[in-house]
Amino acid sequence: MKEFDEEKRLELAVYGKGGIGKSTISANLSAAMALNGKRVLQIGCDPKHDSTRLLLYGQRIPTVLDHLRDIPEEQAQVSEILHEGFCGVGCIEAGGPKPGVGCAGRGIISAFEFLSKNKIKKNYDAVIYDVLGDVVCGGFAVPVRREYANTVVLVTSGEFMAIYAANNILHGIRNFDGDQHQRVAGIVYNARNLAGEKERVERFAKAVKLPILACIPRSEAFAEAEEKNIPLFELEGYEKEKQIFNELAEKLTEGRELFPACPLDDEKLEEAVLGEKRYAAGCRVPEDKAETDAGIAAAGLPYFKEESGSVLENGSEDPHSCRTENAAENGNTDTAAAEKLSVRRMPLYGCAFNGAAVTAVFLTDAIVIAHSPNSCAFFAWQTITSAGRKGLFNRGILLPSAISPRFACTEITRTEAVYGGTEKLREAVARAVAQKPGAVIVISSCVSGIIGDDLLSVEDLSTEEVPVIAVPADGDIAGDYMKGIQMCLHALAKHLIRTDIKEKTKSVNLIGEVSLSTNLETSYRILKDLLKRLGIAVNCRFLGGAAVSDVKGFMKAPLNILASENADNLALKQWLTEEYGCTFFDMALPTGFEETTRFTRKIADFFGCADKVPAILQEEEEKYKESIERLKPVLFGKRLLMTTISTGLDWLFSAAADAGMKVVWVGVADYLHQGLAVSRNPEILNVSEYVYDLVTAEEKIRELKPDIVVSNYPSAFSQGDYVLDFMPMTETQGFSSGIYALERWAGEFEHRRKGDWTNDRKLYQKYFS
Amino acid sequence: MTASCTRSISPDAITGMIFAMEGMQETIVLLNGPMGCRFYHSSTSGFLMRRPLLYLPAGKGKERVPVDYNYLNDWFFRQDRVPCTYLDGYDYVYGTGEKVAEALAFIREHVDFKILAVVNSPGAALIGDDLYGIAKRAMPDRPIVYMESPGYSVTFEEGYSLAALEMLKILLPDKKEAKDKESERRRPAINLLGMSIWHRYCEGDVRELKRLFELCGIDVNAVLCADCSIRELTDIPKADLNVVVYPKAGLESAKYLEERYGQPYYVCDPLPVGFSSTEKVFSEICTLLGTSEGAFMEQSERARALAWNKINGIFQMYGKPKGVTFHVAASESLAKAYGIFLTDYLGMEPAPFDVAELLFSDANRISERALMPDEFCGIEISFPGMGYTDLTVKTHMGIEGTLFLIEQVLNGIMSK
Repeated sequence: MKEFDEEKRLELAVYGKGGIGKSTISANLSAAMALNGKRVLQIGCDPKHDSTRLLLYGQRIPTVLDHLRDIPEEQAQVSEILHEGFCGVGCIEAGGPKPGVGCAGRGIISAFEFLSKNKIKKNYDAVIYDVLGDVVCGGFAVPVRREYANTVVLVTSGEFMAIYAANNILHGIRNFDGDQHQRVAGIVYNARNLAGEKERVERFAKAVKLPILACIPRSEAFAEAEEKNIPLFELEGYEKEKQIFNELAEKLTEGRELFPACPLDDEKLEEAVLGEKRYAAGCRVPEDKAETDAGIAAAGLPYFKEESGSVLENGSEDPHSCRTENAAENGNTDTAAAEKLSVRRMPLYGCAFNGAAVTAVFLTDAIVIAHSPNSCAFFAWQTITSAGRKGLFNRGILLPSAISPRFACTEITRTEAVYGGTEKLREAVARAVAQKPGAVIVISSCVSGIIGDDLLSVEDLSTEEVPVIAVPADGDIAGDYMKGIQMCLHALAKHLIRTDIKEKTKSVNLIGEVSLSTNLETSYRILKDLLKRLGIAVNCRFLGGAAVSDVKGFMKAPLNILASENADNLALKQWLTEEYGCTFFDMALPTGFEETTRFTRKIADFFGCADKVPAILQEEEEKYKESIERLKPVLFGKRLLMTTISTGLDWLFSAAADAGMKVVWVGVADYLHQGLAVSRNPEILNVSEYVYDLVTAEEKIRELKPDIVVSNYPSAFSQGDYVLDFMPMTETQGFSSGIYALERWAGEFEHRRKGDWTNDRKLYQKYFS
Repeated sequence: MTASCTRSISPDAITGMIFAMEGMQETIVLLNGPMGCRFYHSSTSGFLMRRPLLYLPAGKGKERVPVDYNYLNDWFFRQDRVPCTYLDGYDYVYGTGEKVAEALAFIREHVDFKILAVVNSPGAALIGDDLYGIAKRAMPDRPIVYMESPGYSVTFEEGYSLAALEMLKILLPDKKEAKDKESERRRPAINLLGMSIWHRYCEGDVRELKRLFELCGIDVNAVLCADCSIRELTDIPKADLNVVVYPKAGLESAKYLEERYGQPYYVCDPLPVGFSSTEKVFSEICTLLGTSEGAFMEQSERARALAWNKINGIFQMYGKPKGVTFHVAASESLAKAYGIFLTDYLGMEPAPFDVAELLFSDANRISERALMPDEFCGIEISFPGMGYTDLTVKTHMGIEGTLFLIEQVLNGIMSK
């Protein structure tokens, strides 16, 4: 068979409201074209897959999606899904999921990808796409994209909702085509014998500047053909009906004229079709019908010609005129709601899926299941293991939960994306439960969220020993990275914390440690050691590395301590207080000498062990002073300028002051809406809000001539006559936090070599541009 | 044991697509998806490539001006690779078109580039927006490579393969230019297919293969998707042979080029890792193109001699590397190539992951092994890496690569 010239091939999309008769019209149109010598392919694009039934004499054929679901795509055979029907018409059904599961729109996309890949259309003169009635999402609009359909017909009756659907389809086409293309052939009016319906269709046709190509009368012929599962042309008689389809086929194949899509907004549609306006308050204001009819007559438009039943001529009015007449409406009708929501919502940094995943793996004896494609799980895996690899490579620290997390993925494929993935998820959860971990935590991605998988239903797979906990993050649909952390912690608390525990131990819970901080374990060891010196144990790290039993026994600790007082931790504190009546320490885990001193005194008071404090403080003070004296000769008199996203930096400023440094300016970026409270010290006056405006920072550097510039993003600064240092996002906690920073700075001054390499930026530009 | 291991989670097709297109110079890859899908790609691409700076669109007669990164907060989020539309839940409901159009308008105004690539995230692909139509309206004057379906849990190589193929389809001319007299006189030329910036030593591999082809009197026109310029891309149809280095990533492109331009192709089986495999690949290609392998073979022999001296020294003293156990946890083609070299050339023995003395893998697997009791030495052959900062260009392919690999093996054996 010779290949047909793609330019000449008719690719016709038949659109219209559900139940309007598209499949019947498509099948009989295919039959008419085939009888006229055309090689025709009909592709049913409705998940109910009955478009080609009449052409196949009632035979049900395997759908493309069923075939792709059952076998690997590389083994898929065109012969399995392409069947020959009446007069050699090629018949294909795209198929799709059952109602209420999966994503039928995605199914259409997948089916069309398969058809394109296998060049199925190449042997046909005409391809007819019989499309689902309502273009509810982009997937169902695939056939109308320009790379597929080059011609569109709208099927409608005179019922308002059918016309409304036809108008919606024009909106869809308009969205794809803009002013640039014309590919609507016209309207096929499928009569229902309702009062006034012909006039309504005529008024609609006129308003959207389209011809009525055919009027399909209400006829016993169609009922009889349906009953016998055969095309109209197999019936005896009914010559008038057959003639209508023959003429329609001819119009669409021979020198067809195409028009742009000129949809109406809802108000204009009602006005044009019903002859009345519907106002916001819901009241109707009828217009003079006679006036409307007179208007049509006055326009002198032969849109409807009674002879031959319904076949219409083109209007004399230039169909392009919709560009001026309806342009404003078209510009505004892309979806007003979308414009209101518009694109300038606050960006979501990271996704809730990722935040939940990296939190959940710190429940050390749980299995975490990502209900996602492999990609999402990989991004989370990278986030988790990156800290593990760095810890091992740079410091020789082995963090099992970050190196080998118990993290699995359901590996959602195209099949689940189309048919739904709940079943696959349940199988994965059942396998995990059988391994008897402390818990199974299931987290959903965008894909599972969009296709509507029932994540919460897996919780019924819990056993007495193994709770199954669902975190419906739905990728970033639930929110950003921090939201995911919060969702995960709430879910774990609700499922695991035993509220019947009354007996308290001399212990604390640590709340909201930053799971991915590279110095997480260093800080923990320092503070655990301090608490141990006071005779206090750590009951549960919620959640910096805890077993399920630790979380279950959460209530054993009489006191809870926030790792830091960021907005998310404060929200968690409030939630735990309200839900579990938790008592919180009025300080977070301390950073720097002064804070750690206060912390030590207060917590010792709480647990009645103040007698142990003096010895600890004396020892730490001696160490601190010794360090300051060692650093002073290098740092005394040095001027410090800082840009930071961190707040609460008194520990740093006081250490700097103890070493004789002067803070000349601090620029604070509002990174996560954390406020600008960098210091309680009234002497630190020169603090500004700083919005990644490096111009300001550079000006301050020129004006204030600092000796050292410290920033979370030092690479953003150009080299100058100053030391440039990196400020970690989370500093190591305890008595010596300030000392660690000063030691780093002193090292920079002591070995202050600008280095000739800093002059070579221009060479980089020269050789790598 | 040389079988692939599935426990570590590997990147899938979207990453393959993005890195294939990031491997083209003067290309901007816009990810139509949430920020969660972006960070890995933007940071990794920036890390992998010795990238040129981004420049402002050129004005007439003006020098090129680097983009001030302060202005790249929108869509780029202050990273220079892989801008994204940061989709959220509303976008999945109302469509992503406006954001894509806005992002493209911004990119067009602020960045100089020649090719636009747009990739849907897995979530964005579900809703079926007309990505190409939107992009074409915003960028009518530039070629657009668009990937509407990123694949769901299919392999990195499949994603790479689709993106590479799409680039060839969109960017190459319809017909092969007739040979002019100059081209008839020139040396045989090849293209290298299937190589990716995401491979552990991509830059070094490319450099070494080019060097060896030069010794064989063969020019390399283009290394598709591995720091490939537009000029090199347009020279692809002029080559006499396409050499598929990684079959799963490059074979479809080779078949397409054969169909479109009548170019034959050669598949490296195994990869040119180790002396024997390298000699096999180059010898066969020289035969196909009618060039001499003499200079290449001489270098290979010299390298074998050097390696013998070092290996023999250690063998005399310690009886190694014979019998030393190893495990390769990597893709099929890597596992095969390294396995052949380690067993056939060095006389080592394959062993399970948890007991092998040398582990050839990515840093995740190497770290995971570090949690186990037996001592071992890990040698990185794929990403992610452990964090070692490479300045000198390294390779495991060809003659230089084989020497470097032997060097790592010998030191690894002795460090145990």
